[in-house]
Amino acid sequence: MDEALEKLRPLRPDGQELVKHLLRNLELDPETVQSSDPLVADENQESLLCTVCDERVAKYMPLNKLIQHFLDVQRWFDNATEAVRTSPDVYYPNRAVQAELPKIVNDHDWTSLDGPLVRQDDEKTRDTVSKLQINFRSEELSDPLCDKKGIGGEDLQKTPKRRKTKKSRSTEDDPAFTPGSSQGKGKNKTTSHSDHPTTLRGCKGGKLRDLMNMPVDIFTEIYSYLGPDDLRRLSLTSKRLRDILMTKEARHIWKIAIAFVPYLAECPTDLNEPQYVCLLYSSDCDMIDCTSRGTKVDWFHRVHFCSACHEVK
Amino acid sequence: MSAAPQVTLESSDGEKFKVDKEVAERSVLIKNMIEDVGESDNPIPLPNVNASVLKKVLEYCEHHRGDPLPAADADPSNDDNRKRATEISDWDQKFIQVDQEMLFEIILAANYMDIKPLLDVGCKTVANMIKGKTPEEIRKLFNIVNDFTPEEEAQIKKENEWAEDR
Repeated sequence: MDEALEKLRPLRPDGQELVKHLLRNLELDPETVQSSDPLVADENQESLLCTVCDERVAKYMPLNKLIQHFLDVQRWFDNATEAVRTSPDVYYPNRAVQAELPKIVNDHDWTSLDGPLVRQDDEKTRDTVSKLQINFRSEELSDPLCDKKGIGGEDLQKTPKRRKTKKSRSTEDDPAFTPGSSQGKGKNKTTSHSDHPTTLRGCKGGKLRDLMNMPVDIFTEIYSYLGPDDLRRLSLTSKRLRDILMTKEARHIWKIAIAFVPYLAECPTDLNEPQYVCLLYSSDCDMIDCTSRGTKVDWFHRVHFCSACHEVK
Repeated sequence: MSAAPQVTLESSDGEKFKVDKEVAERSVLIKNMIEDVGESDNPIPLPNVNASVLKKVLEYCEHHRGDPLPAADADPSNDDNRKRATEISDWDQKFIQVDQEMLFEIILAANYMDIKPLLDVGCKTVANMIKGKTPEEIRKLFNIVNDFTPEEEAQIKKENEWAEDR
Protein backbone atom coordinates (compact mmCIF):
# COMPACT_ATOMS: atom_id res chain seq x y z
CA MET A 1 0.00 0.00 0.00
CA ASP A 2 2.72 2.47 0.95
CA GLU A 3 4.39 1.89 -2.32
CA ALA A 4 1.20 2.67 -4.17
CA LEU A 5 0.87 5.88 -2.26
CA GLU A 6 4.32 6.95 -3.16
CA LYS A 7 3.45 6.34 -6.75
CA LEU A 8 0.34 8.42 -6.48
CA ARG A 9 1.71 11.52 -4.88
CA PRO A 10 3.93 12.83 -7.61
CA LEU A 11 1.27 11.99 -10.14
CA ARG A 12 -1.32 14.19 -8.67
CA PRO A 13 -1.24 16.96 -11.25
CA ASP A 14 -2.10 14.49 -13.91
CA GLY A 15 -5.67 13.45 -13.33
CA GLN A 16 -5.64 10.79 -16.01
CA GLU A 17 -2.66 9.05 -14.51
CA LEU A 18 -4.05 9.44 -11.07
CA VAL A 19 -7.26 7.82 -12.08
CA LYS A 20 -5.49 4.98 -13.82
CA HIS A 21 -3.45 4.30 -10.73
CA LEU A 22 -6.48 4.54 -8.56
CA LEU A 23 -8.30 2.04 -10.69
CA ARG A 24 -5.38 -0.34 -10.57
CA ASN A 25 -4.71 0.05 -6.89
CA LEU A 26 -8.31 0.01 -5.86
CA GLU A 27 -8.84 -3.09 -7.95
CA LEU A 28 -11.74 -1.62 -9.79
CA ASP A 29 -12.69 -2.17 -13.34
CA PRO A 30 -13.61 0.87 -15.40
CA GLU A 31 -17.08 -0.38 -16.08
CA THR A 32 -18.04 -0.42 -12.45
CA VAL A 33 -16.81 3.10 -12.19
CA GLN A 34 -19.09 4.24 -14.93
CA SER A 35 -22.15 2.70 -13.36
CA SER A 36 -24.56 5.16 -11.92
CA ASP A 37 -25.08 3.22 -8.74
CA PRO A 38 -23.04 4.57 -5.89
CA LEU A 39 -20.02 2.44 -5.22
CA VAL A 40 -18.99 2.35 -1.60
CA ALA A 41 -15.30 2.18 -0.85
CA ASP A 42 -14.07 -0.48 1.54
CA GLU A 43 -11.59 0.38 4.28
CA ASN A 44 -8.48 -0.15 2.23
CA GLN A 45 -9.77 1.82 -0.66
CA GLU A 46 -10.86 4.53 1.65
CA SER A 47 -7.50 4.95 3.28
CA LEU A 48 -5.90 5.07 -0.12
CA LEU A 49 -8.35 7.72 -1.22
CA CYS A 50 -7.69 9.71 1.90
CA THR A 51 -4.22 10.33 0.63
CA VAL A 52 -5.39 12.03 -2.50
CA CYS A 53 -8.36 13.97 -1.30
CA ASP A 54 -10.17 15.21 1.71
CA GLU A 55 -10.90 12.48 4.21
CA ARG A 56 -14.52 13.37 4.46
CA VAL A 57 -14.94 13.21 0.76
CA ALA A 58 -13.19 9.87 0.60
CA LYS A 59 -15.52 8.56 3.23
CA TYR A 60 -18.86 9.79 1.97
CA MET A 61 -18.40 10.23 -1.70
CA PRO A 62 -19.32 7.17 -3.69
CA LEU A 63 -16.14 5.86 -5.19
CA ASN A 64 -17.24 6.00 -8.78
CA LYS A 65 -18.46 9.56 -8.43
CA LEU A 66 -15.18 10.55 -6.95
CA ILE A 67 -13.24 9.09 -9.81
CA GLN A 68 -15.49 10.70 -12.32
CA HIS A 69 -14.88 13.92 -10.55
CA PHE A 70 -11.13 13.55 -10.87
CA LEU A 71 -11.56 13.12 -14.57
CA ASP A 72 -13.86 16.07 -14.70
CA VAL A 73 -11.48 18.31 -12.85
CA GLN A 74 -8.64 17.23 -15.06
CA ARG A 75 -10.57 17.89 -18.24
CA TRP A 76 -11.62 21.24 -16.97
CA PHE A 77 -8.14 22.07 -15.87
CA ASP A 78 -6.70 21.07 -19.23
CA ASN A 79 -9.20 23.21 -21.07
CA ALA A 80 -8.59 26.14 -18.83
CA THR A 81 -4.85 25.80 -19.25
CA GLU A 82 -5.24 25.68 -22.99
CA ALA A 83 -7.52 28.68 -23.01
CA VAL A 84 -5.20 30.74 -20.88
CA ARG A 85 -2.24 29.95 -23.08
CA THR A 86 -3.99 30.65 -26.35
CA SER A 87 -6.03 33.69 -25.57
CA PRO A 88 -5.37 35.22 -22.19
CA ASP A 89 -6.76 38.56 -23.27
CA VAL A 90 -10.15 37.23 -24.07
CA TYR A 91 -10.20 34.82 -21.27
CA TYR A 92 -9.07 37.08 -18.50
CA PRO A 93 -9.73 40.69 -19.26
CA ASN A 94 -8.80 41.39 -15.70
CA ARG A 95 -5.14 42.34 -15.84
CA ALA A 96 -4.24 41.23 -12.38
CA VAL A 97 -5.73 37.81 -12.85
CA GLN A 98 -4.18 37.55 -16.24
CA ALA A 99 -0.72 38.20 -14.90
CA GLU A 100 -1.24 35.71 -12.16
CA LEU A 101 -2.67 32.94 -14.22
CA PRO A 102 0.20 31.24 -15.96
CA LYS A 103 1.77 30.96 -12.55
CA ILE A 104 -1.31 29.42 -11.06
CA VAL A 105 -1.77 27.02 -13.88
CA ASN A 106 1.82 25.91 -13.96
CA ASP A 107 2.69 25.89 -10.31
CA HIS A 108 -0.62 24.99 -8.89
CA ASP A 109 -0.02 23.64 -5.48
CA TRP A 110 -1.85 20.40 -5.68
CA THR A 111 -0.60 19.40 -2.27
CA SER A 112 -3.01 21.87 -0.78
CA LEU A 113 -5.47 19.03 -0.93
CA ASP A 114 -3.61 17.46 1.91
CA GLY A 115 -4.17 20.49 4.05
CA PRO A 116 -5.22 20.18 7.65
CA LEU A 117 -8.83 19.49 6.93
CA VAL A 118 -11.24 19.05 9.73
CA ARG A 119 -13.34 16.01 9.65
CA GLN A 120 -17.01 16.75 9.73
CA ASP A 121 -18.60 13.60 10.90
CA ASP A 122 -22.08 14.88 11.27
CA GLU A 123 -25.18 13.01 10.25
CA LYS A 124 -26.40 15.88 8.21
CA THR A 125 -23.50 15.87 5.84
CA ARG A 126 -23.75 12.17 5.43
CA ASP A 127 -27.44 12.40 4.72
CA THR A 128 -27.09 15.17 2.23
CA VAL A 129 -24.35 13.39 0.41
CA SER A 130 -26.12 10.11 0.18
CA LYS A 131 -29.47 11.62 -0.59
CA LEU A 132 -28.16 13.49 -3.52
CA GLN A 133 -26.35 10.48 -4.89
CA ILE A 134 -24.06 13.11 -5.90
CA ASN A 135 -22.06 14.08 -8.71
CA PHE A 136 -19.25 15.45 -6.74
CA ARG A 137 -19.42 19.00 -5.62
CA SER A 138 -16.16 20.67 -5.01
CA GLU A 139 -17.55 22.59 -2.12
CA GLU A 140 -17.44 19.44 -0.12
CA LEU A 141 -13.74 19.95 -0.08
CA SER A 142 -13.69 23.56 0.81
CA ASP A 143 -16.31 23.47 3.51
CA PRO A 144 -14.22 21.93 6.21
CA LEU A 145 -11.43 24.20 5.23
CA CYS A 146 -13.60 27.19 5.77
CA ASP A 147 -14.88 25.93 9.07
CA LYS A 148 -11.38 25.44 10.24
CA LYS A 149 -10.51 29.00 9.44
CA GLY A 150 -13.66 30.14 11.16
CA ILE A 151 -15.02 31.88 8.14
CA GLY A 152 -18.40 30.28 8.15
CA GLY A 153 -20.11 28.81 5.15
CA GLU A 154 -18.79 28.51 1.68
CA ASP A 155 -19.46 31.25 -0.79
CA LEU A 156 -20.29 29.09 -3.70
CA GLN A 157 -23.34 27.93 -1.95
CA LYS A 158 -24.49 24.46 -2.43
CA THR A 159 -27.99 23.27 -2.13
CA PRO A 160 -29.87 20.33 -3.43
CA LYS A 161 -31.41 22.72 -5.89
CA ARG A 162 -28.38 22.45 -8.06
CA ARG A 163 -29.11 18.89 -8.92
CA LYS A 164 -32.39 19.98 -10.33
CA THR A 165 -30.66 22.68 -12.26
CA LYS A 166 -28.39 20.24 -13.91
CA LYS A 167 -31.06 17.85 -14.96
CA SER A 168 -33.12 20.49 -16.57
CA ARG A 169 -30.17 22.01 -18.34
CA SER A 170 -30.69 20.26 -21.62
CA THR A 171 -34.27 21.26 -21.81
CA GLU A 172 -33.69 24.85 -20.98
CA ASP A 173 -32.05 25.98 -24.13
CA ASP A 174 -35.23 27.17 -25.63
CA PRO A 175 -35.53 30.87 -25.76
CA ALA A 176 -36.51 33.79 -23.76
CA PHE A 177 -37.89 34.64 -20.44
CA THR A 178 -41.20 33.48 -19.25
CA PRO A 179 -43.71 36.22 -18.90
CA GLY A 180 -43.20 35.92 -15.19
CA SER A 181 -39.68 37.21 -15.37
CA SER A 182 -40.72 40.11 -17.44
CA GLN A 183 -43.49 41.39 -15.29
CA GLY A 184 -43.47 45.08 -14.96
CA LYS A 185 -40.87 45.57 -17.64
CA GLY A 186 -43.60 46.77 -19.88
CA LYS A 187 -44.65 45.07 -23.03
CA ASN A 188 -44.57 48.19 -25.03
CA LYS A 189 -44.06 51.87 -24.86
CA THR A 190 -47.56 52.60 -23.77
CA THR A 191 -47.47 50.57 -20.61
CA SER A 192 -44.03 51.79 -19.76
CA HIS A 193 -45.26 55.32 -19.79
CA SER A 194 -48.06 54.51 -17.46
CA ASP A 195 -45.65 52.65 -15.18
CA HIS A 196 -43.53 55.73 -14.89
CA PRO A 197 -45.76 58.71 -15.30
CA THR A 198 -43.05 60.98 -13.95
CA THR A 199 -40.51 60.23 -16.62
CA LEU A 200 -41.07 62.63 -19.43
CA ARG A 201 -39.69 62.56 -22.87
CA GLY A 202 -36.25 64.06 -22.97
CA CYS A 203 -36.07 64.06 -19.22
CA LYS A 204 -32.61 63.00 -18.20
CA GLY A 205 -33.92 60.86 -15.41
CA GLY A 206 -35.86 58.67 -17.80
CA LYS A 207 -33.00 56.48 -18.93
CA LEU A 208 -33.80 53.68 -16.57
CA ARG A 209 -37.23 53.43 -18.05
CA ASP A 210 -35.75 52.99 -21.47
CA LEU A 211 -33.46 50.12 -20.68
CA MET A 212 -35.68 48.45 -18.17
CA ASN A 213 -38.88 48.74 -20.13
CA MET A 214 -37.63 47.26 -23.30
CA PRO A 215 -39.81 44.37 -24.38
CA VAL A 216 -38.34 41.14 -23.17
CA ASP A 217 -37.24 39.92 -26.56
CA ILE A 218 -35.22 43.08 -27.09
CA PHE A 219 -33.74 42.70 -23.66
CA THR A 220 -32.65 39.22 -24.56
CA GLU A 221 -31.32 40.43 -27.87
CA ILE A 222 -29.12 43.00 -26.18
CA TYR A 223 -27.83 40.51 -23.66
CA SER A 224 -26.94 38.05 -26.35
CA TYR A 225 -24.24 40.41 -27.58
CA LEU A 226 -22.59 40.63 -24.21
CA GLY A 227 -19.65 38.68 -22.90
CA PRO A 228 -19.82 36.65 -19.69
CA ASP A 229 -18.09 39.30 -17.66
CA ASP A 230 -20.45 42.00 -18.91
CA LEU A 231 -23.38 39.91 -17.79
CA ARG A 232 -21.79 39.40 -14.43
CA ARG A 233 -21.29 43.10 -13.93
CA LEU A 234 -24.71 43.92 -15.24
CA SER A 235 -26.20 41.53 -12.72
CA LEU A 236 -24.52 43.53 -9.97
CA THR A 237 -26.08 46.82 -10.88
CA SER A 238 -29.54 46.56 -9.45
CA LYS A 239 -32.02 44.15 -7.97
CA ARG A 240 -34.18 44.17 -11.01
CA LEU A 241 -31.42 43.32 -13.44
CA ARG A 242 -30.16 40.73 -11.04
CA ASP A 243 -33.59 39.18 -10.78
CA ILE A 244 -33.74 38.91 -14.52
CA LEU A 245 -30.28 37.49 -15.00
CA MET A 246 -30.28 35.12 -12.08
CA THR A 247 -33.38 33.17 -12.96
CA LYS A 248 -32.95 29.88 -14.64
CA GLU A 249 -34.84 31.23 -17.59
CA ALA A 250 -31.81 33.40 -18.16
CA ARG A 251 -29.48 30.45 -18.30
CA HIS A 252 -29.38 30.40 -22.08
CA ILE A 253 -28.09 33.96 -22.06
CA TRP A 254 -25.16 32.92 -19.90
CA LYS A 255 -24.58 29.88 -22.02
CA ILE A 256 -24.44 31.93 -25.20
CA ALA A 257 -22.04 34.37 -23.60
CA ILE A 258 -19.75 31.59 -22.40
CA ALA A 259 -19.88 29.89 -25.78
CA PHE A 260 -18.69 33.09 -27.45
CA VAL A 261 -15.38 33.12 -25.67
CA PRO A 262 -12.92 31.18 -27.80
CA TYR A 263 -11.51 28.08 -26.15
CA LEU A 264 -13.39 28.66 -22.95
CA ALA A 265 -14.19 25.34 -21.44
CA GLU A 266 -17.76 24.41 -20.82
CA CYS A 267 -19.21 25.20 -17.48
CA PRO A 268 -18.13 22.51 -15.02
CA THR A 269 -21.02 20.37 -13.93
CA ASP A 270 -20.78 21.35 -10.31
CA LEU A 271 -21.16 25.06 -10.95
CA ASN A 272 -23.93 27.01 -12.50
CA GLU A 273 -23.02 29.42 -15.26
CA PRO A 274 -22.96 32.60 -13.19
CA GLN A 275 -20.78 30.88 -10.60
CA TYR A 276 -18.41 29.76 -13.30
CA VAL A 277 -18.23 33.21 -14.78
CA CYS A 278 -17.69 34.66 -11.35
CA LEU A 279 -14.85 32.27 -10.70
CA LEU A 280 -13.23 33.19 -13.98
CA TYR A 281 -13.68 36.90 -14.00
CA SER A 282 -14.42 38.23 -10.58
CA SER A 283 -11.49 39.67 -8.76
CA ASP A 284 -13.05 39.86 -5.34
CA CYS A 285 -11.54 37.66 -2.71
CA ASP A 286 -13.92 34.86 -1.79
CA MET A 287 -12.89 34.87 1.83
CA ILE A 288 -15.72 36.15 3.95
CA ASP A 289 -15.21 39.67 5.25
CA CYS A 290 -12.25 40.19 3.01
CA THR A 291 -12.64 43.01 0.52
CA SER A 292 -9.26 42.73 -1.15
CA ARG A 293 -8.85 41.86 -4.76
CA GLY A 294 -8.53 38.14 -5.18
CA THR A 295 -6.23 36.98 -7.90
CA LYS A 296 -5.26 33.54 -6.75
CA VAL A 297 -7.59 31.12 -8.39
CA ASP A 298 -7.96 27.79 -6.76
CA TRP A 299 -9.35 25.67 -9.53
CA PHE A 300 -9.95 22.67 -7.44
CA HIS A 301 -11.93 24.36 -4.75
CA ARG A 302 -13.49 26.76 -7.22
CA VAL A 303 -12.64 29.84 -5.29
CA HIS A 304 -10.24 32.70 -5.55
CA PHE A 305 -8.45 34.48 -2.82
CA CYS A 306 -6.39 37.59 -2.51
CA SER A 307 -2.72 36.96 -1.83
CA ALA A 308 -3.07 37.39 1.91
CA CYS A 309 -5.92 34.93 2.30
CA HIS A 310 -4.19 32.56 -0.05
CA GLU A 311 -1.18 32.51 2.25
CA VAL A 312 -3.31 31.83 5.26
CA LYS A 313 -4.99 28.98 3.53
CA MET B 1 -36.20 55.75 -59.80
CA SER B 2 -38.77 58.53 -59.91
CA ALA B 3 -41.25 56.18 -61.50
CA ALA B 4 -40.90 53.69 -58.70
CA PRO B 5 -44.15 52.91 -56.86
CA GLN B 6 -44.54 54.85 -53.67
CA VAL B 7 -46.40 54.42 -50.45
CA THR B 8 -47.39 56.82 -47.72
CA LEU B 9 -46.68 56.16 -44.07
CA GLU B 10 -48.32 58.02 -41.25
CA SER B 11 -46.60 58.47 -37.91
CA SER B 12 -48.34 58.41 -34.55
CA ASP B 13 -48.43 62.20 -34.49
CA GLY B 14 -50.07 62.41 -37.89
CA GLU B 15 -47.13 63.34 -40.08
CA LYS B 16 -47.14 61.70 -43.51
CA PHE B 17 -44.08 60.35 -45.26
CA LYS B 18 -44.12 59.45 -48.92
CA VAL B 19 -41.41 56.93 -49.72
CA ASP B 20 -40.56 54.41 -52.37
CA LYS B 21 -42.30 51.13 -51.84
CA GLU B 22 -38.95 49.38 -51.99
CA VAL B 23 -37.70 51.49 -49.09
CA ALA B 24 -40.81 51.01 -46.97
CA GLU B 25 -40.67 47.27 -47.52
CA ARG B 26 -37.44 47.03 -45.58
CA SER B 27 -39.98 46.83 -42.80
CA VAL B 28 -41.48 43.36 -42.78
CA LEU B 29 -44.53 44.77 -41.05
CA ILE B 30 -45.21 47.18 -43.91
CA LYS B 31 -44.32 44.61 -46.53
CA ASN B 32 -46.91 42.26 -45.09
CA MET B 33 -49.46 45.02 -44.81
CA ILE B 34 -49.03 45.95 -48.44
CA GLU B 35 -49.32 42.32 -49.43
CA ASP B 36 -52.45 41.90 -47.35
CA VAL B 37 -54.39 44.99 -48.34
CA GLY B 38 -52.88 45.58 -51.75
CA GLU B 39 -51.51 48.89 -52.91
CA SER B 40 -53.67 51.85 -52.14
CA ASP B 41 -53.32 55.57 -51.81
CA ASN B 42 -54.39 55.50 -48.20
CA PRO B 43 -51.52 56.19 -45.80
CA ILE B 44 -50.31 53.25 -43.73
CA PRO B 45 -50.71 54.16 -40.08
CA LEU B 46 -47.84 53.43 -37.67
CA PRO B 47 -49.41 54.27 -34.32
CA ASN B 48 -46.33 53.22 -32.32
CA VAL B 49 -43.80 55.40 -34.10
CA ASN B 50 -43.61 59.18 -33.92
CA ALA B 51 -42.43 61.41 -36.73
CA SER B 52 -38.89 62.06 -35.55
CA VAL B 53 -38.23 58.37 -35.05
CA LEU B 54 -39.92 57.35 -38.27
CA LYS B 55 -37.81 59.88 -40.16
CA LYS B 56 -34.71 58.33 -38.71
CA VAL B 57 -35.87 54.81 -39.44
CA LEU B 58 -36.67 55.71 -43.04
CA GLU B 59 -33.21 57.23 -43.38
CA TYR B 60 -31.84 53.83 -42.48
CA CYS B 61 -34.15 52.03 -44.87
CA GLU B 62 -33.26 54.41 -47.67
CA HIS B 63 -29.55 53.77 -47.21
CA HIS B 64 -30.00 50.03 -47.07
CA ARG B 65 -32.65 49.78 -49.77
CA GLY B 66 -30.57 47.52 -51.97
CA ASP B 67 -29.36 45.14 -49.25
CA PRO B 68 -30.46 41.54 -49.45
CA LEU B 69 -33.25 40.89 -47.01
CA PRO B 70 -32.37 38.48 -44.24
CA ALA B 71 -33.97 35.12 -44.79
CA ALA B 72 -36.96 34.70 -42.55
CA ASP B 73 -35.97 31.17 -41.68
CA ALA B 74 -32.29 31.74 -41.01
CA ASP B 75 -30.93 28.70 -39.28
CA PRO B 76 -30.03 29.15 -35.65
CA SER B 77 -26.32 28.49 -36.02
CA ASN B 78 -26.09 31.37 -38.46
CA ASP B 79 -27.96 33.36 -35.96
CA ASP B 80 -25.24 32.66 -33.44
CA ASN B 81 -22.59 33.71 -35.88
CA ARG B 82 -24.44 36.88 -36.53
CA LYS B 83 -24.44 37.57 -32.86
CA ARG B 84 -20.76 37.00 -32.56
CA ALA B 85 -20.06 39.84 -34.90
CA THR B 86 -20.65 42.88 -32.78
CA GLU B 87 -18.95 45.25 -35.17
CA ILE B 88 -21.17 47.77 -36.87
CA SER B 89 -20.52 49.22 -40.30
CA ASP B 90 -19.25 52.79 -40.48
CA TRP B 91 -22.42 54.24 -41.90
CA ASP B 92 -24.59 52.46 -39.34
CA GLN B 93 -22.32 53.58 -36.57
CA LYS B 94 -22.68 57.19 -37.57
CA PHE B 95 -26.38 56.74 -38.08
CA ILE B 96 -26.91 55.33 -34.61
CA GLN B 97 -24.97 58.09 -32.90
CA VAL B 98 -28.02 59.63 -31.33
CA ASP B 99 -29.00 60.40 -27.79
CA GLN B 100 -30.03 57.51 -25.64
CA GLU B 101 -33.71 58.28 -25.75
CA MET B 102 -33.67 58.22 -29.55
CA LEU B 103 -31.58 55.06 -29.56
CA PHE B 104 -34.15 53.19 -27.53
CA GLU B 105 -36.98 54.64 -29.61
CA ILE B 106 -35.26 53.41 -32.74
CA ILE B 107 -34.85 49.95 -31.25
CA LEU B 108 -38.50 49.84 -30.31
CA ALA B 109 -39.55 51.07 -33.73
CA ALA B 110 -37.31 48.56 -35.48
CA ASN B 111 -38.83 45.86 -33.34
CA TYR B 112 -42.35 47.01 -34.04
CA MET B 113 -41.79 47.53 -37.74
CA ASP B 114 -39.83 44.30 -37.91
CA ILE B 115 -36.63 45.62 -39.43
CA LYS B 116 -34.22 43.00 -38.19
CA PRO B 117 -30.92 44.56 -39.34
CA LEU B 118 -31.79 47.86 -37.70
CA LEU B 119 -32.82 46.09 -34.53
CA ASP B 120 -29.45 44.36 -34.55
CA VAL B 121 -27.57 47.61 -34.96
CA GLY B 122 -29.48 49.15 -32.08
CA CYS B 123 -29.00 46.21 -29.75
CA LYS B 124 -25.34 45.92 -30.61
CA THR B 125 -24.93 49.59 -29.84
CA VAL B 126 -26.52 49.20 -26.43
CA ALA B 127 -24.42 46.08 -25.80
CA ASN B 128 -21.28 47.96 -26.77
CA MET B 129 -22.22 50.69 -24.34
CA ILE B 130 -22.39 48.12 -21.56
CA LYS B 131 -19.24 46.24 -22.47
CA GLY B 132 -16.22 46.64 -20.26
CA LYS B 133 -18.00 48.91 -17.82
CA THR B 134 -18.03 48.47 -14.08
CA PRO B 135 -21.43 48.06 -12.41
CA GLU B 136 -21.15 51.64 -11.20
CA GLU B 137 -20.48 52.92 -14.70
CA ILE B 138 -23.40 50.94 -16.07
CA ARG B 139 -25.68 52.43 -13.43
CA LYS B 140 -24.54 55.88 -14.34
CA LEU B 141 -24.95 55.24 -18.04
CA PHE B 142 -28.52 54.04 -17.81
CA ASN B 143 -29.39 55.94 -14.70
CA ILE B 144 -30.05 52.75 -12.82
CA VAL B 145 -30.58 53.16 -9.11
CA ASN B 146 -28.42 50.96 -6.96
CA ASP B 147 -31.02 49.44 -4.67
CA PHE B 148 -28.67 47.03 -2.95
CA THR B 149 -27.62 47.72 0.59
CA PRO B 150 -23.84 47.58 1.07
CA GLU B 151 -24.26 44.21 2.81
CA GLU B 152 -26.33 42.83 -0.03
CA GLU B 153 -23.83 44.14 -2.50
CA ALA B 154 -20.99 42.36 -0.78
CA GLN B 155 -23.03 39.21 -0.66
CA ILE B 156 -24.18 39.10 -4.26
CA LYS B 157 -20.63 39.41 -5.49
CA LYS B 158 -19.94 36.08 -3.94
CA GLU B 159 -23.22 34.32 -4.20
CA ASN B 160 -24.46 33.19 -7.54
CA GLU B 161 -27.21 30.71 -6.99
CA TRP B 162 -30.11 30.76 -9.37
CA ALA B 163 -32.95 32.67 -7.85
CA GLU B 164 -35.77 30.64 -6.43
CA ASP B 165 -38.55 29.99 -8.85
CA ARG B 166 -41.27 32.42 -8.19
